Amino acid sequence: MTETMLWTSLRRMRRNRGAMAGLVLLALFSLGAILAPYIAPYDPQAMHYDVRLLAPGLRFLMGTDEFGRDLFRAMLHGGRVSLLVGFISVSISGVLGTSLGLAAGYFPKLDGIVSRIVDIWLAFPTLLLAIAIVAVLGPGLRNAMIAVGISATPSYIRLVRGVVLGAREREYVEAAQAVGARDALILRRHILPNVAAPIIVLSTLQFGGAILSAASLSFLGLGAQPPTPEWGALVSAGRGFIRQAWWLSLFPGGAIMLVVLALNLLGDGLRDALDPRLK
Amino acid sequence: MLKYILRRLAGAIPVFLGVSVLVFLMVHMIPGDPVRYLLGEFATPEAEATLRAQMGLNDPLPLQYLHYLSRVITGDLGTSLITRVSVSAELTNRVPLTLTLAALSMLIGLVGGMLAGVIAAIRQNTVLDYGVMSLALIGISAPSFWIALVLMYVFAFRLSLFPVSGYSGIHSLILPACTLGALTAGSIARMTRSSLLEVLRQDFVRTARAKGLPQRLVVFKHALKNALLPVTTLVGLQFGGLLGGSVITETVFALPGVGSYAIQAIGQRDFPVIQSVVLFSAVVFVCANLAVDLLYGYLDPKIRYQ
Repeated sequence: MTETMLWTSLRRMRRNRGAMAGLVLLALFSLGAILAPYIAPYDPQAMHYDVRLLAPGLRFLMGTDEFGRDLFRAMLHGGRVSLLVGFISVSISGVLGTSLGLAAGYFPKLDGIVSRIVDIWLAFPTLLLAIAIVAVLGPGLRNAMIAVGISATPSYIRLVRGVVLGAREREYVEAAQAVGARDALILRRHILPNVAAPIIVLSTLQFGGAILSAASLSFLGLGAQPPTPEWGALVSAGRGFIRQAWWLSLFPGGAIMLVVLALNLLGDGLRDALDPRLK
Repeated sequence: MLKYILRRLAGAIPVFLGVSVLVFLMVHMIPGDPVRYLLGEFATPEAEATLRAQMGLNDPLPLQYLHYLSRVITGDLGTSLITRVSVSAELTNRVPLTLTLAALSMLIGLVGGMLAGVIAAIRQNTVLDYGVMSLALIGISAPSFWIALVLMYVFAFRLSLFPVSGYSGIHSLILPACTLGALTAGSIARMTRSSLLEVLRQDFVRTARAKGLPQRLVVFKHALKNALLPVTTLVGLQFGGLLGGSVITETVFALPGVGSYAIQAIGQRDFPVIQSVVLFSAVVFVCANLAVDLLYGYLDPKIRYQ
């Protein structure tokens, strides 16, 4: 896909209201995450016992927790963690899956073995695989990112392998091989550009999935550990007070939903704009 | 058809073997010494030696695997390191609840999702379509632990219609099943809608309309049958999501199923239990997908001859 084609497709997406709404929502959340330390310095250890479990209001937009900590502040900082964790996880699966997919699609000798491995990989339900990996490596944010990344890798392998299989048969690849170009060059120069658009679409959708999985691990106590204000961990911490303080679970969980929803809207829009064949 | 079934079954054998190898290797992939990890730093050398012998860690790796495989095939999943209870016995007690929950969620997801998808498709680009599809989007975007807590707050705390947590009969499973069903319903609704819209554009649908069949017959008798084929594949995949999600819902609603067993075991580093739950889920998931594949082959003759 050439650059002009990419821009034409992206311009087409501007007419997609859902995708644009997703983009705006995502920009807002990212802005909050980036600016959090400047607009709302947060010290999770700072507790104020005079304002415990206050309902949302003018003084505390989203209320306070059992230690009198401002939930809105925790949410802003939690967004930093959740978005970053999702991004790193999706990067792990993207890099790993794209390399394996390229190898499987381009080298017929590797295809059989990679496909076998993918079959076994996919035999484990995604979240359970992530849980199993954390069980082996030990709980914590870093291991949770590895676990989420590994458990989401097969979708990349399958996608990239399929695209490469199609591209390998094209004349320009044959021509490059005929003039003696090395495989690494052909893969980089002639095959990889074909993969770019589908990978952008998949990564957008997987970004949301990764945020969800990582938040689930944190909710189960396997990811971010308190006092790290990750959204899933915040919901988990608020769970015990759901009767008296619904806001402690509602807002962080709602934030996860909105971010994932934004990514889904954007991903759907990108898919329609870049590659209508992808379903 | 028989050939197709046999080919599919044979194809699943290497997957089962691969799964068993990975699950077996879990203990060996623990960074550092697994025995030290399981017992903690202050264990006596005697305790370490006993556990090492009990887990058969002194044998060469391939031999250990063969022992493991032969035990698993005969239904012996070992004993819990904490409670000393046989894992198979505990699983037998817990599996029915988890499978009932999964089946109930799948039912809610299928019925709700298909209904929503059909409504959205036949009312394409109306307020109804947008409303239903927004709900579906929320279903696939919301974290299940959050849906669980919202449902618990509204229907258990506020309205007192259902028990808050614990298991006391089938009504304890309604809220958990709705939680899990939401995700499934969302994906099935989206798939049904796009698939039905595609089918409704095809020639045979125009023919059916042209010969004067009422809309109801065209949609439900002619179009829907064809539109549901891709949905079938989704059902198998969604089953994996249900198994993974049951870990979360069972934890939130304190249900004594397989998922909560796993979480409890991870907290206690009870590896025989963790391994067995992972093995169980993978086997059930592969079987579900296999069943869907066979059903697909039965429904769509084109598949059988590929």
